[in-house]
Amino acid sequence: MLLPEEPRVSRLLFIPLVLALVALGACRSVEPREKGRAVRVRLEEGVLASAQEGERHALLIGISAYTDPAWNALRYAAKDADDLGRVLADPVRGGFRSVTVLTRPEQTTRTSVLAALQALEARPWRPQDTVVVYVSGHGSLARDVRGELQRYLVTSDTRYRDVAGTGLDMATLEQSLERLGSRRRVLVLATCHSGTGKSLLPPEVRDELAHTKASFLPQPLEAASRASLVLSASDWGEAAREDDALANDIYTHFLIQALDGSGDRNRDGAVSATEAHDWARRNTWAYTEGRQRPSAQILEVGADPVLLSGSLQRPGQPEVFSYSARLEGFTLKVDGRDAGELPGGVVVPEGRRKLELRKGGQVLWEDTVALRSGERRELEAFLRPRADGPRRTVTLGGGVLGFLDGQSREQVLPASAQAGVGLGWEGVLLDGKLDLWVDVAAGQGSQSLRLDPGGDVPVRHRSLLVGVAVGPTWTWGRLGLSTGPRVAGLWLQRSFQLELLDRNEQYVTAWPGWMAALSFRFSPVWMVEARAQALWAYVPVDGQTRTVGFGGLMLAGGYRF
Amino acid sequence: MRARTCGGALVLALVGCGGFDNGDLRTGVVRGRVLGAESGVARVNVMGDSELRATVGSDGRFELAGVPARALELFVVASRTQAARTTVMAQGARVTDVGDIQGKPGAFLTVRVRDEQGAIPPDVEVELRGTGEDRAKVDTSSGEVRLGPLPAGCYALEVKADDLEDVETEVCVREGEERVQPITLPADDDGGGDDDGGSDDHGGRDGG
Repeated sequence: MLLPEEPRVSRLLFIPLVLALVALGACRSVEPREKGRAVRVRLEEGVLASAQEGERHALLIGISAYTDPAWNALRYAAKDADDLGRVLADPVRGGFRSVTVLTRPEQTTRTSVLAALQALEARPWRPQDTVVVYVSGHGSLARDVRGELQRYLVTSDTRYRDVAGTGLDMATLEQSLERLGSRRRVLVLATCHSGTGKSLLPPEVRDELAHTKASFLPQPLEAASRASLVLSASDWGEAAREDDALANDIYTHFLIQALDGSGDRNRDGAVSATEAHDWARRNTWAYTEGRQRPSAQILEVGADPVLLSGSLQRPGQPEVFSYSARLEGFTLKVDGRDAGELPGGVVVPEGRRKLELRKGGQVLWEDTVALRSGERRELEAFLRPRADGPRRTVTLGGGVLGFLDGQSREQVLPASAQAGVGLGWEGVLLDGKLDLWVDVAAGQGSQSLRLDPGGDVPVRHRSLLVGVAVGPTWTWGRLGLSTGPRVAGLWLQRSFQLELLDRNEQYVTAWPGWMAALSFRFSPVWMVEARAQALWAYVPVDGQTRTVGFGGLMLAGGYRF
Repeated sequence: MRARTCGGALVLALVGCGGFDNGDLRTGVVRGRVLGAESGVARVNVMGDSELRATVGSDGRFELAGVPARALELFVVASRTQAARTTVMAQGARVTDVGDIQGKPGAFLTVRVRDEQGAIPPDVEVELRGTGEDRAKVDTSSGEVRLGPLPAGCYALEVKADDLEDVETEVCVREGEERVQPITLPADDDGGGDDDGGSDDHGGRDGG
């Protein structure tokens, strides 16, 4: 409900400020048993109903006017809150049970905003309730009492010379949301702290930032927040802009537009927070010609999306999505065709689809995924097993193994063809610096020894090798080089079935050595490898021991998982 | 701890079980049959190795064991008048059958021994090296000894006598040939007869 009793403060008193929108994202957490695997989310009939259970409440804060004339007035911050509140309160669209809009100067003081947040906390929240907090106004940076640079929302009474003492730090805003009993929380910030656009920095901070590398800046709120869903009108360091032609903050304009139904990407009848954000993000990006990139941080995504508008009428088309910063700029291809850029969500036709994540000419990940109506799959979860844990590679191949010197091959045991299987764990030793490989190879042959005297003596021979190696792997694009020490247990047998000699001879030992492998990944999961090994061999022959080299070369195909 | 680990790896590397032995692969057996073999006379041995010899059975069959697995030549005496030489590639740990060996008319070599004064030296022994023939004593009255039957080919003839220098010379004979090989034994300045430093110059000067 839009509260009519909230009087509007004169725009003459407004100083350009931060616009912050906090929306509540209610998300069912991933089932524990699915941790580390792809998140499969399916909207069944019962889930559809439960997704719409609970009440929707919103606190919208638009701060256009400031007491301290040092802050520039914002023309559309209050209007942004009003316009958004109107849509949320509309029973046909948002259907929110209550919408509290704070826009007047006395309502947007630090004390008043904190009181509004406390009032929000005081409500009897249920987990299935949805809460949206939206803030539009100036943002700023200042040193707190500990001397650390923090983000602040500039309230109407914030003094330019004392931001830390009179502004509202974003951490307080975030903590206030965390205390709510609802699990569906969305925080939307139409602010920035870059010193441009809807941001104004004190001179000393601006001077400090001019001489400070970006990595020392405080983290963007959406990167540090523990709220369920944090949507931001601009990326860290970018300006959030108002636009006269739109008569709104640009991001807010398209966010409101999405709630009209335009953002219903999967055609399920409702506009979720992520759908609305994706719509606003893509349109803001296009409208600003790439100068403003709204971002989002989603910490929990469950079966029931945070619905901001409409109601679920049917299972939507399958969707895949990612708001991970590391996937930003990647293109999602579906069945070989471009389907959209990340971050964001993409609707995918139902059925088994080949999905690819590409950037430039490189494929980060590809797989064939079965998608059903109503499903929402997080792309990050597909990649997580490889990113989080040690990556493993199983290889299958063949090659040749034998003594390195010709004399031993002629007089003791000929080289033999081998077939082998190997298993490698990447980065499991020494804080991820060393890989571990285990391999087993077996082979046999029927050749001749060449003795003098003795001539050519037919011999059948078999070998079994079990090896362990450790070492680092260096990669250059798709090419990888691994090398390291190795120990191999070896069983060698030669067998003579001759007229005067029917005898099996064998030798079992363990030999130290070295290995080197060159690999080429022709896809994220498939690779080929050439692996060479050399072992220091100590072999008793005719009652005397020989110290010789033993080695081999294996060519293998591998699968990474 | 690290030292213990390294030590363990070293022990693993040095300790093995089993091994390989090529000894039995270096010799084999050669067998065959001598056609027209005369019992009690026929014999076979490996040229160049007098120890490797075999008697021939009444059916002419023979078997040589422990023969080095390499290319070699057999010296075959089939009867009092026939002999043969045949090559064979012996195989390690296997039996190599040379098949039937047909004796051919053998050559006979008469070695006539004299000292530098033309006298018949006493206690002279003659040997065709590598044929397995026993050393033959020169008849003190005639100063000669007759060797054979010999398969056609060349042989190393060694003549030894007390107080004279030994003489070694190569003698080649043709099939069925009767050959006289005169040998002159020079005086031994060192007074020994065990000197193998004899010279071919002393042999064959009267041959023909």
